[in-house]
Amino acid sequence: MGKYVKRGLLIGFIGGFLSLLFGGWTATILAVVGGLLTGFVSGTEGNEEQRDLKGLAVAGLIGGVIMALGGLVYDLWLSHIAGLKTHPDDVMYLSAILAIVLCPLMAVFMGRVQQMRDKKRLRIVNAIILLAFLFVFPFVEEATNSAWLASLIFAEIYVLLALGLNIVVGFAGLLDLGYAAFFAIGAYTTGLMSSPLHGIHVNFWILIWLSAVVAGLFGILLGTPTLRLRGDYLAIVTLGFGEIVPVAFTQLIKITLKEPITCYFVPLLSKLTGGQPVAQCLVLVDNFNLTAGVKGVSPLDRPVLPIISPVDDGLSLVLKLAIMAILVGLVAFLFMRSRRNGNRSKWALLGYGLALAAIIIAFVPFPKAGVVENPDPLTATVTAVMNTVQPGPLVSDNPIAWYFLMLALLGLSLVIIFRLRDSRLGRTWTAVREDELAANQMGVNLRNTKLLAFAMGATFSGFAGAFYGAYYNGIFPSVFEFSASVIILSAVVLGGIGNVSGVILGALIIMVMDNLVLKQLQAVLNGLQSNVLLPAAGNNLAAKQFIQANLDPVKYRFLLLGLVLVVTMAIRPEGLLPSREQREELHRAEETGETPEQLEAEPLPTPM
Amino acid sequence: MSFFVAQQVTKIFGGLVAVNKVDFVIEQGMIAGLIGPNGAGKTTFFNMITGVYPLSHGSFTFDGQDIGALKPHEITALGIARTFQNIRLFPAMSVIDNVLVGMHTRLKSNLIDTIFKTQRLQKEEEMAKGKALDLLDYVGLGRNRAPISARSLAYGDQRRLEIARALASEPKLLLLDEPTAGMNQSETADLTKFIRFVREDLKLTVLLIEHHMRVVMGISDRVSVLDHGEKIAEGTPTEVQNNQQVIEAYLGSGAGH
Repeated sequence: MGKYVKRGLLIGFIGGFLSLLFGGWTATILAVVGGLLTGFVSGTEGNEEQRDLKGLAVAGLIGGVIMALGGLVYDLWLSHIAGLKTHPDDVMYLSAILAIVLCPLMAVFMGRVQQMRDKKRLRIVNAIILLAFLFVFPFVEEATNSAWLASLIFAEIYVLLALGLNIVVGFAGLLDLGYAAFFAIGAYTTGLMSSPLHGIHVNFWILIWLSAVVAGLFGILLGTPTLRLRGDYLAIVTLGFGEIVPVAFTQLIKITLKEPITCYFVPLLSKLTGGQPVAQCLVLVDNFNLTAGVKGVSPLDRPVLPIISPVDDGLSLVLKLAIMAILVGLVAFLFMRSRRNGNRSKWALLGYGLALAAIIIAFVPFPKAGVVENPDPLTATVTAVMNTVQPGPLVSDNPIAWYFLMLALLGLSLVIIFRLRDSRLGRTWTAVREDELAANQMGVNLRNTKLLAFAMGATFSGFAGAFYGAYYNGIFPSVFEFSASVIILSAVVLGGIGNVSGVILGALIIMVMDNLVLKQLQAVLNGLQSNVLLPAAGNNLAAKQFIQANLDPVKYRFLLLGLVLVVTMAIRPEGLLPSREQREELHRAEETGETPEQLEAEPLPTPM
Repeated sequence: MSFFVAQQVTKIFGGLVAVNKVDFVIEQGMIAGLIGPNGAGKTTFFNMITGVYPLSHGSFTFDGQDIGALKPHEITALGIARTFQNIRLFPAMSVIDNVLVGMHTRLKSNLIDTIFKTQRLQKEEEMAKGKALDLLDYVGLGRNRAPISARSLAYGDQRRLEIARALASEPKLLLLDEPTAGMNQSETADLTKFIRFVREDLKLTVLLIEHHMRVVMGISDRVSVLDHGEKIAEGTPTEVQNNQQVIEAYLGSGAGH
């Protein structure tokens, strides 16, 4: 039972802190998340008898109560004294009650689900719960008006980046400190080819692939000369590349290209011979502004996003989603069937066809449903609900559409990454990471293997860059500096190098902290500063200055990031969710009571 | 033309001559032994054959082809596989994945196959996995140990896995670097029997470095002796055993008296 109390306190502490910062519906949302997580974690440990549903209920209850308290403290006290947004009384109390009720319920529900004996089915059920949550979340978010979605979309972009870097660092073991460079190359490829800057307007849906390819090519370009270097040396070179790229994008504003023979060679020759220059210098490019420098590229063309296309009617959206759901279901059914039959081609082909149809339908604007006189109550309700989801007319300003788009592309990337990991190529990456010489002696071409890992990482980075540019509607070189590489690498390390789900978790935590929590904390502290602390300081000028200068958490984001990493490395060096290999490697010494050196030592050869 | 020929093979590290003008011939189907005291240059010789160290002078001819200038992975693809004196498995990978890495040069699937999970890839992977499991049985590890990590295997089993990994590349010439190092007597006897069996069964040619004199003498058709980087004797095991220079090299110059 003590274990569950501890766990309840843990989720309560985290969730409670966040509800304390945001208030309103936060407590309820976090209670659901925390409850589900608690239940899920119980499934990953021990045997079934140890999974104690009562314990889970207790953990959930403790967590829920703390979260509810956090939310109440915000709405009743903190928001008033800090002068922040308050929520209506009914929201505040309802949220607290729901948090207390839902957290244990969710924990028990999820814990019960984990008791399923059929592991394969359990995996499917877990995936369905996760997908359902991911699907419902933005709508809940919109309805509760908590304005988290923008940050979450950035988090999704960074998850994609971290997944790409994980291929390089985690799978192939190549330390890349300049990963943001490829992010920049992807973003600029999209930016330069779909903005008024050069008057080129290529369709976004072509550009994302193009950006990925361009970034991948740059990966090969950088990798070819440098990948023969090992470990530290490679890290330094990538660090240099990471520094060069943003500088290059800042400075490429006055490009002049002169044809060398007529401009340099002939004048030099005539100077040497003392004659007059005869040829006219041929200037190919004169003072060309490629990247607009620090001003950045902005705005970009707005892409047409799928699913929520120009409809201002909820009903046609419902219709479209329904058709999509049926199609997706059919596709899934066909693939499962084709797999079971072992006769893939025929069914799979049909599946691919239907999937394509679903994608096309997602883009087709559906006609407005005619205004029905006196609609039946059901239709009216659905219309009303769906209409709350529809924001303004400009499609690509709808964060829900972006959220789902990024989610779909993350899914696609995950499929590719898993396939890579479990394939012949993925095996060679691991082998090279484990023992380069042995891998080489087993017939692995080191250069090509490393180059492929590097290029694949760069490709995903370019992919993410294209989205970043289009979503943010602006590209500025300062975004891609060294700090971006550090943040992405931290996400990988924090989550667990090499483990895909760990990396996702790491990126989510760091981005949510950075984009959401820290900003809200800043708002709270600013409020406290001007409403409470400064008046309290009275006429003490020194104290006032001290408060004004230091009470800004955003200033400390790298300090905090560093602290998080130091603590992680001290307590859990393998990251939050390590891969099995990492865990074994780092804890082998503890389990056997030997030092790693002893374990690696050779047994002495017996004399002849 | 013999199956494998080394001509005037020399390796110089800085000022040190590690291997000096060694001539060496292996006929097809033979088990050749390479012995010598510590630091005689045996492993250096291996590393030169497999392309880890480029040759300073001389040449290697394998199956009628000059392999002296080839890269390690190209040499493996031609059909030379090796094991290591100090076991070098991929410790974090599973047992079967270790074998599958050994199969690398015999598999064809590329990036496009992988991303789209083509039928070719699936067939190939299925075939490879089946073959790898068979190999695990073949070397006596047992297919039920396929999913555990290589690190968790016992020492002798790690040696077996290394041999399985080498065999996975379908070699014509198998190089074994002190395969019985660290094994007890019965394990050594088992392994010796196994090497002989593999030679017959797979029609392999084997080059064996050994420290254990008894092992080498027991199974080699022909033994060469290296000392200070030079070949000091060659012949049948009995001939070599009675060679005065060999006895001196192993036991010091006073031993003959």
